[in-house]
Amino acid sequence: MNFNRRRVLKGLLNGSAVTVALPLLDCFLNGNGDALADGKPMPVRFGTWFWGLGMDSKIFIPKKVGAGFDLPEELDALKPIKDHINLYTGFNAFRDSSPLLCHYTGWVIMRTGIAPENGDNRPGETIDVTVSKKIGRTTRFQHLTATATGDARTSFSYENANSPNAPEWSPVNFYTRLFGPDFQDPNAPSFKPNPRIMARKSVLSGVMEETQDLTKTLGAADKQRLEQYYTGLRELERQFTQQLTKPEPLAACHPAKAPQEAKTGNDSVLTAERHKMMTDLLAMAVACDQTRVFNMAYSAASANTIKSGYEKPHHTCTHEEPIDDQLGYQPNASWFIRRSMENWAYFVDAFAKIKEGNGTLLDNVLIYATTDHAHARTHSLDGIPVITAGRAGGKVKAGIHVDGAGSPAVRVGYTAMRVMGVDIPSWGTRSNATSKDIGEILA
Amino acid sequence: MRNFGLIGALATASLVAGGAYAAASRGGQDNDYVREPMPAGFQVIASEVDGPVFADANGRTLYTWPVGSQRNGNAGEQKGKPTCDATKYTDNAGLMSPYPGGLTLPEVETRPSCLDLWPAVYANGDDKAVGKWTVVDRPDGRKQWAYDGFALYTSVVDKEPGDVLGGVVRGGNRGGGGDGGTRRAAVAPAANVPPGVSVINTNNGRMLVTSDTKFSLYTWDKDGADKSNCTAACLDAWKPVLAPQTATAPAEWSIIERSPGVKQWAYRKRPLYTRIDDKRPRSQEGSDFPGWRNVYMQLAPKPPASFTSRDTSSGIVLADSKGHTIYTYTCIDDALDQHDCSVPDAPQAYRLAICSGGSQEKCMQNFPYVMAKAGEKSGNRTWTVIDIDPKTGHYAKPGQADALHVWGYRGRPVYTYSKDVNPGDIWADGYGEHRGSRNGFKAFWLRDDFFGGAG
Amino acid sequence: MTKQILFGAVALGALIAGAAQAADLENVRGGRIGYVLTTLHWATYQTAGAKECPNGFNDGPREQFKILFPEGKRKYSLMETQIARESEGWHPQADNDHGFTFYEPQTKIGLGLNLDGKVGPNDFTSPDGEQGIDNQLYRALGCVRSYRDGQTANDFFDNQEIQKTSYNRSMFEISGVDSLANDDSVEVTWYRGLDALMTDATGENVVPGGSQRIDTRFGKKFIQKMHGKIVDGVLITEPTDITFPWATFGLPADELIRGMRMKLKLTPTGALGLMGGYADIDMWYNQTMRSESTHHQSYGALSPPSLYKAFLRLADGYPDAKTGKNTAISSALRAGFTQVYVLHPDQTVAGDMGTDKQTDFAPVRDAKR
Repeated sequence: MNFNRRRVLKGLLNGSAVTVALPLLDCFLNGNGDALADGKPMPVRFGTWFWGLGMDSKIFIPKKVGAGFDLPEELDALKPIKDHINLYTGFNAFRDSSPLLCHYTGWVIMRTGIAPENGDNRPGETIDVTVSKKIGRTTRFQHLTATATGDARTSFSYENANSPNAPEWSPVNFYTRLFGPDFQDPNAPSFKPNPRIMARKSVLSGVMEETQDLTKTLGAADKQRLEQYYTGLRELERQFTQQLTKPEPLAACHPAKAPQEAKTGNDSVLTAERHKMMTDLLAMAVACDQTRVFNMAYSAASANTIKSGYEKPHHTCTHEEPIDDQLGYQPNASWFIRRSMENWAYFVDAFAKIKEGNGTLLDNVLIYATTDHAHARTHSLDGIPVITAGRAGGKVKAGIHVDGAGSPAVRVGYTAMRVMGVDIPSWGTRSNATSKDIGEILA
Repeated sequence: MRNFGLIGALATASLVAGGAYAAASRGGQDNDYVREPMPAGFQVIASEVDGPVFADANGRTLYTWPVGSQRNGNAGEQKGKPTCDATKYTDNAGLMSPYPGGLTLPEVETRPSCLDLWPAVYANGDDKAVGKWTVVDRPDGRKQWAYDGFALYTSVVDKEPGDVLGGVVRGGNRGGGGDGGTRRAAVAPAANVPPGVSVINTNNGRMLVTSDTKFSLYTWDKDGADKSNCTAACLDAWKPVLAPQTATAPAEWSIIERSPGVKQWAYRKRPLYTRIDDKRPRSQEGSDFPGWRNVYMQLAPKPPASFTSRDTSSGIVLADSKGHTIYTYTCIDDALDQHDCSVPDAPQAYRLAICSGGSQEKCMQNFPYVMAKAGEKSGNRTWTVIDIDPKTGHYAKPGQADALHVWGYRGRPVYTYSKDVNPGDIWADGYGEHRGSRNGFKAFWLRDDFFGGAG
Repeated sequence: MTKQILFGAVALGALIAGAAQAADLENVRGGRIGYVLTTLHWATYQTAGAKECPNGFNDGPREQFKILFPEGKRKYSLMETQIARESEGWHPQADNDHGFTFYEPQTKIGLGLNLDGKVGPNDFTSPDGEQGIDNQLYRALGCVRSYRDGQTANDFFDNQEIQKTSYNRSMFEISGVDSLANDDSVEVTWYRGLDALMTDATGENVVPGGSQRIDTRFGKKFIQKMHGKIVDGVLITEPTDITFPWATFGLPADELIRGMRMKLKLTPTGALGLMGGYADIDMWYNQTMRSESTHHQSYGALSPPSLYKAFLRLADGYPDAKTGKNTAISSALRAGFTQVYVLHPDQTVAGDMGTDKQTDFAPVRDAKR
């Protein structure tokens, strides 16, 4: 069995096919660990991340510009990943004569470069689709889209107006899709993978023999990597097994008793749990080269995340909560942003934890994180913040705070696409049209 | 008071002259939808307002209840997960802002369950999936048919084949979504239109628009059958809807070659255009120009003959015989099963709070019913005469002597507003909770150039 | 020589006078100049730190709900809570409002105009020292968070909607203008425009020099005339009932100001100042109830029944013929306008795609509109 070429273990579990893709083990790479064994470069992957309702600039924008920037309190959670990210402030999303569509115009501009004309209008295609057309054609999934909201409609990815990319919203379903057979025939009644069985027995048990054969050929470092990967997968399966024996948290919109439970669907703690599972699965899928383009939505644009004990969900809070005289910002609204940043930190760290070649998966990834407004309270677009993470295979520097000085925020996306090899002379239309990349971050 | 007539929209006097384009009003129904494989026992039925809809073997319209986000959480069903059951909810869920949950619902002792109002379309053990029709498991162990993953239900409000009365009355485009509750929707086959064209439901009928921006399509009286005469200066204002080179035309559609290699769509032999100056989706502004018309697959059923229309500050509204704006009433409650409280046999407390602060008598003064005159009849099932008990606002009992015979739209009474004094007054448009979409009144817009009120 | 110098002097004088006159009439064409509304706020005088609201701001629907129906005490019904509160909002009575105290601004300073020509005990003094300012609406709104600048609920969004929503495209044209500096008789006609505002590249700033067609069809009710004069560059108009559109959340809604007068500083590129008069209470209230409903009123802690009761207490104009109760409340608006060319139906825009003649396919601007 030639494991140099096969990167996927297949087996049978209870009569159903299962697939376990393998991460980029050293045995698949060249001697230096900086390219594939056949000489091709390490794949560079592109991802997006979304959080709703912007920031409080007073406690979000660092005082220092450039490398070694400070982390104001709303960004406190980013301490562990500060050296992996670039922060972009002072950039603008321009709508020109197009209307200001609350919780829509901003994110559409950041993902397409085009201001929408009305709430039905999805102009162009989103940035992840553009990149996936360049780098996504050789992998099992051209792109993977996931959301932590538990809502099948939370997606910021679309091919065109009529084709939004529906997200994975259920960690169990996502797991089944990634590790179940490649092809599911709905007309073949016995071919349906049962996630409960998969999780309980572990898909790994379906590929036990092949794993043993593989392990014999691996060096120590690779054995460790495989072990780490399998352990992570098994941990997730244990969680799924637990969930599958009692109602999924996602079904909490329909409680057995008191209405309070109905709201736990959007509770921030529950959202974080879902985010963690979806992130872990997504990172695995990327590490195993199942896809090279991925999207994660932490929240919807007008996020309905709930803080336990506080009656207003995030969006309502941004409009109703008064600005605290002493603090100069809305304390509860800021709480929600801080939770968003915590989850962003988890997302970035998930990629940083996976070893790949000489470094980590994050070294070979570029993640583009955007939001819908600068300030949710006034629906402003001026100064809309952006964050990127990862070094894109060494093409991008990290740890830099860039001040846009009023230039178009789409420059970040444009720069990202150029780094990913999308050879476009410009991106965006009208005042959002740019052909000026952000040189400060380029290596 | 001058009857304005309906320019470019639903014409009470004459369906086609000066009105919208739709060929013969119900002709071509069979070609309006895309055929798809269906399990035995289901059919497609033509409905008066919503076009072809799926129905069960008895002709009862099928509905789904896709999950919808509201201010404080979600209601409705995810794909593959039916939740409508026999639970008798007693409390509101607090999904609507700013009121909390945990409040006992009105008339809680007699409040029906979700399944009481929305019988599930059960499947048998040996039923098999066909195309987009699948069988899903219910929490109670039974199996249920689903379409596109969403579980299927019928509505007890529907009485005859073709009735689509179950969904909450759509009072125009605005105020829905998160503020308008999570509504059930009738399930329908895809419209038989080429890519790039969509059909949307408006108060005037099922209108053709572009898919990506929802901008209106138009036809021109001076074109011939499958022949465009719009050239030169005409093209400065009207843009032909072009067909791709490899396009094939669905039934009732044709492709005309304007010039070598330039292909234009035509519907029922009328070439199609968009208007360059249109700034809004679903616009009717193009129909202001002589000979230009919006395009409908199917026109809406005619309102009562005595009804008129009026210009207002935002567009055109349907009005009673004296020119007073007609309003519909929409209501959906805040329990997890989202009951429709706009029908006369629902608790009237919601409506009475808004229209008078609690009194049916005062409501009839503030928001009078539109009385049907003796012998007045409707030519369709969308506009009907409903018998109402004047003391309660509920349906009158059969033979009730003092029953009011009032006009209704889709099974629910319509109203005027006592403070609308001058022609074109619309002081009750959006009057109610969440701009009327949750519990309140909306003007019956025939055309709304600013806020999309006509749909 | 003297004749020559005199002539020269006269000629120079005429030239200077002509130049001054030209500046005076910049953007005035045929004696007309137009201004389109770009900013609008109810004139509420505020200080940093809200000194005029020593008791704090008024409670809104959420806060009042919690006081009326404290959590955890017992089980409440929808009827006695939400339904009852909505009833009170839609049909407010003049009662003691559950004992809630309504806070009015404690200050002698207010913005607005002297509407009744008198100096009365309820009047304010303007920040510039002008006495007799009539603005009882300020007493009703002054300590409601929603109507305070920077507190970003009604005050922010209502103003934003002026530019954002084409239903609100109010404009007026002054005609019979001999000078923008001084003219003892001008006519002012209000219209609603049909076109988008001309802005700079950011889309945020409206610039002068745009044009607006008149909405003669659906905007017909907004065509209203006033008479006035220009004194030292300030347009002053006589009291006239004016209805203008102010849709603030996705549905048509208007305001009626009885006896409205304007005091606007005019320049060739804009106008800025105050509009004052007696706001019809029921129309004011109808506008906010339909547009905002309790949900959005909560954003700015605006309790509708409390506010309406304050209106009833504070109303000071236009008594009802039958009941004798005042139906309108003195008020003022801070208004900003940008110069615009008002296109009358017989005109077209340079570069217009249409012809000026109706044909079957070339649309004429203003055909039927």
